[in-house]
Amino acid sequence: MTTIDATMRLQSTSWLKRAGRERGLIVAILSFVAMMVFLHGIIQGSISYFEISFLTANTGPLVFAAMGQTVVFLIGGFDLSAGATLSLVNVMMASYTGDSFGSQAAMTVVGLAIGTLVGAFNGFFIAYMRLQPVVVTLASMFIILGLNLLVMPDPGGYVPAGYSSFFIGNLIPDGFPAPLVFILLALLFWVLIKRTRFGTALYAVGSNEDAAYSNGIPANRTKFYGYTLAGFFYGAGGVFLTVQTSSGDALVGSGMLIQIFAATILGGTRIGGGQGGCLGTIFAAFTLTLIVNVLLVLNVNSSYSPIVESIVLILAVIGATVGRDSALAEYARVMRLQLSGLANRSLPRFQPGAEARRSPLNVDWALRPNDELKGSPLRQWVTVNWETLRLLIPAWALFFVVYIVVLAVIGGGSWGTHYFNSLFTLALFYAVLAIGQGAVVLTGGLDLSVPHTLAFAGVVLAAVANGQDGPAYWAIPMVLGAGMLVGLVNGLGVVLFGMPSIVVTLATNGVMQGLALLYTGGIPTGASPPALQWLFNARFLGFAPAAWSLILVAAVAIVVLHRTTFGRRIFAIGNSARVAKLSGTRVDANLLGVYVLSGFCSALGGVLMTGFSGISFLSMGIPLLLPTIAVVLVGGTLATGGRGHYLGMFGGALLLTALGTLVTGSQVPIAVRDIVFGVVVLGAVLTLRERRG
Amino acid sequence: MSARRFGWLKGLAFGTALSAAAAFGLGADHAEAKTKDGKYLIYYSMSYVGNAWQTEAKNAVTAMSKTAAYKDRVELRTQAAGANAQKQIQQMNAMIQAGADAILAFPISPTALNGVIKNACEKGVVVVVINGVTEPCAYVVKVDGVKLGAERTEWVIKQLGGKGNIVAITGVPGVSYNEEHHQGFKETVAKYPDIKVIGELVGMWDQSLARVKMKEFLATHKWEDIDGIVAQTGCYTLSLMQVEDGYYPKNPVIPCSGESSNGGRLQMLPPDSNVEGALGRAGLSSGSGLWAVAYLLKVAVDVLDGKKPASNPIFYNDAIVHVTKDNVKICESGTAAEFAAGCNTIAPGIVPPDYAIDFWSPNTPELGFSSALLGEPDY
Repeated sequence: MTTIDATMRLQSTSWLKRAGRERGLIVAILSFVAMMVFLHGIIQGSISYFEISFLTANTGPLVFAAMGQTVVFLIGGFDLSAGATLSLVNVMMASYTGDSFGSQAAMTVVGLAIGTLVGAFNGFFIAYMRLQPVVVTLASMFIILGLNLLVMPDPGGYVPAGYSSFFIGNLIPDGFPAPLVFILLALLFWVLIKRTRFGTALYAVGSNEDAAYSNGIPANRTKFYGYTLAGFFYGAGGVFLTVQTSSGDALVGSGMLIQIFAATILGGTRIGGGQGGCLGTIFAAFTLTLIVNVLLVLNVNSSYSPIVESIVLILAVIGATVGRDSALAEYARVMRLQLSGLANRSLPRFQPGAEARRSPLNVDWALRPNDELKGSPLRQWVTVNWETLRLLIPAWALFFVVYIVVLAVIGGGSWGTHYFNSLFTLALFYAVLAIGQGAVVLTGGLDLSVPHTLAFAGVVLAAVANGQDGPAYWAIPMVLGAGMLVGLVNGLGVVLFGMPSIVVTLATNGVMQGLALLYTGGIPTGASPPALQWLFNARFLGFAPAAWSLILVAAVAIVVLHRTTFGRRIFAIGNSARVAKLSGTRVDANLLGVYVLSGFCSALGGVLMTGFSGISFLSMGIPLLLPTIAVVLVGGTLATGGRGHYLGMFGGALLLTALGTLVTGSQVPIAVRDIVFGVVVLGAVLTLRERRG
Repeated sequence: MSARRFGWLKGLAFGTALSAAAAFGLGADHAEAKTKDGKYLIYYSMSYVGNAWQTEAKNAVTAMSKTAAYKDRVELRTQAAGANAQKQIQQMNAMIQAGADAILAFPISPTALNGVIKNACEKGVVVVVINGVTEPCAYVVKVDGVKLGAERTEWVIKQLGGKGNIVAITGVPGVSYNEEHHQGFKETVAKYPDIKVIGELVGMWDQSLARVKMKEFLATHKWEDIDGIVAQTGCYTLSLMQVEDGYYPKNPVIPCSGESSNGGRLQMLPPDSNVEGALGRAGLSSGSGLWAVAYLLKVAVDVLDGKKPASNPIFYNDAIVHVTKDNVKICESGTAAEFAAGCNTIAPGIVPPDYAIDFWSPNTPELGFSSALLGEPDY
């Protein structure tokens, strides 16, 4: 009797625990049901079979693509190439599918194969070359975007109607939509995979790669096949995109990327790996699609839609993560302990003067003699600093290679101050943004809120200053403060709610976009203060003040990141937040500081961009985000944090700017420019790869 | 044990959700819900909310719906789909579902929307889009991009006397209008053996990116190397850069033909006109089709009234206002009537310099200055 009781109790607690762990999935399902009930309630009787069938067909591409992304998330990865891959399959199929059954069957296989190949490409570099997922998929994204334009520069092509209706028609007329069959098949496929040893390995590698490896799970092979499987899902997404649109468009997949991430996150799969699955993703994909309907039914002003969508994302993630083991609960627990400690006087008391105050600029320039080093002083220096130098060399070496190519191919005045003035001025934006983004990456995060924080600072500054220097004295500090505030919100989301940085910053980016829209009414006005324009237009010894200030930026960055205790703690946190915490580092405060720094840099980027352009634009931050991430990673920074040097990022900034001058200044076909960018980024990080052991 | 049980639970949850969805579907009959007050319910599905042109276009079509001819006949609602074609498809379908009489759209893809457009047509919803989709049942209002590109290029080449170096600023690669415009450019250039294209810069229809790309280009070239510029968007910024770099006033500003930015037109005024930013530059400013978005509404109401347009697609090249330094003229108050009388530019400081100024055209004579800025008609 008692044993049965005990077993039952055991079972019921593990049940609860299990339900707690699957809360992401439950939230995903509940929000889908809520969405359906709401829509059904508000527009009575208008959800017909046709609507269901339409919904399944239209959500199909997102469902498959997000299932692929889910697999990538599960093994602790991140895939920027998903959207572009969908388009690659799409343009290939729309270009080459014929009317015969044989051709259609063959092209379906080819479509799936293309996706799988892209996945294998990513997987090879990530698993076997030990490169970081963000940078590999960033590079492959650009390469694929270029290929897409080569295959189909102008939207068009077609697939036969009969072929399309096989996938998006009806299995039973007015009874069961065919797309749902394929979605269920994909789900079945996923469930079967999950039950295999490979499925277990996926979760194990995502949870703890080292533990998985120690338990005899081939981590590399699992990752490689994981990315390949993701690619297969992208292939299916591409096939579905093609049959649903019956045509090809090189850009249509890229527009889906943010939603692919959103569906995966909303579906309860954890960034960083080990938790989640495709079922939640499927529901989340449908929920996201239905948001469009809800916004329309409620007639929400279109300026609010970025804000509404960001808030939905945040709420869902909070709903799925905040609980007894969340960071917020931990804070509450510590607070309670402290309070009770205060009450019964059991807290340790600090002795004044016990800890000597140290200068924040904790500089120790003195060389420590080392008897073990041999050879010339230069050689000794190289030996001591080899680990850092190794990170810097690829970016700088490639920069010189690109410069030599510029001289050889374009020549002209490319050796003088004229060239370097342009180079340094343009590199300034990357150099500034790389400080913030670099610091965030060094702690193992990623700041996606840069584009619209930057634009917000720019449009507000231009509107307030309105072409005058006077207001700039308070307007510039104000927008920089606003940027820091955005950073603080990001930091709090990461620290307090324990949310992945990608989610928080993606959401704040949407909110800032919405705020900038509301502030400007969609049409930015005003102009930059003349003093800011002077930075770019004046000349001292042939260089603009902006170019000169690059030295200052680099100096400040090196001091902040490498010569202060704050900087040292960033590295400590990136190496292991847990170890840093146990060693007495206030991890949370430092993380907040890192995000505030990044917000500050974004806003400073906006201020500088406004000075550069003379006026400001709502979209002016967008083209800077991905190249800045590339700059940081090409410069030797490890995407999981803890390794890197600003001088490397600085070299990365020069490299990518020089590459820009090369492709723009020469007659390289436009589609090939993206491919060149991707190949250079991949080539640069290939030399940085870590060797096992 | 418990894991398996939970798997079963998951299945149950999935099944429940599905059957809930199906239950809502069954027994529901599709009722058309036209507006009760007898107005036409018209939706506008715009693309990206975050750029000034899209906002102006939204304002212009809103203003059109408030003019005397339409305010008692039309209810206009606007939704944005961002850069995601899938979202626009879902949105347009929701519009059909909401009982739209007509849908206006800025299509994110010219091909991906075909299915939903066909569906709309089958349900009797009138679809009118700008720039073009390949589904023939939609009414398309578009510019002949090849012709416009050729026209702009021809103008620059004429300025140069058929000889010199040209730089092209393109739009977004992979978008039909961009490819058409660039085709027109290349075909025209090919006719002149002494014209050399020294650079093709990807400007993405963005003044700020045009500046970045030109700065990259200038790292290896000089303004002196460039004799003419054909820009889908960027004439304003590129002319301003020549002032900043001191190329002007030592040399006249390089002839540039392209977009209808207000700042670009002000630059065409003579330097002694006492207008801020006037450079007396040679340029052709010929329209971004802003007014055509408002024109979509007119076409839609006409079709709903039973008046079909004479042709489909409706090419609007002939209605484009061409502005050069010979006819550039600042408006006093910016009313539609004043535009009709021949003014075509707004005084500096009132609108930003990148502001598209072609909201007025012979096809949309109702629209004045306040339409694109505030979404309000003159009267």
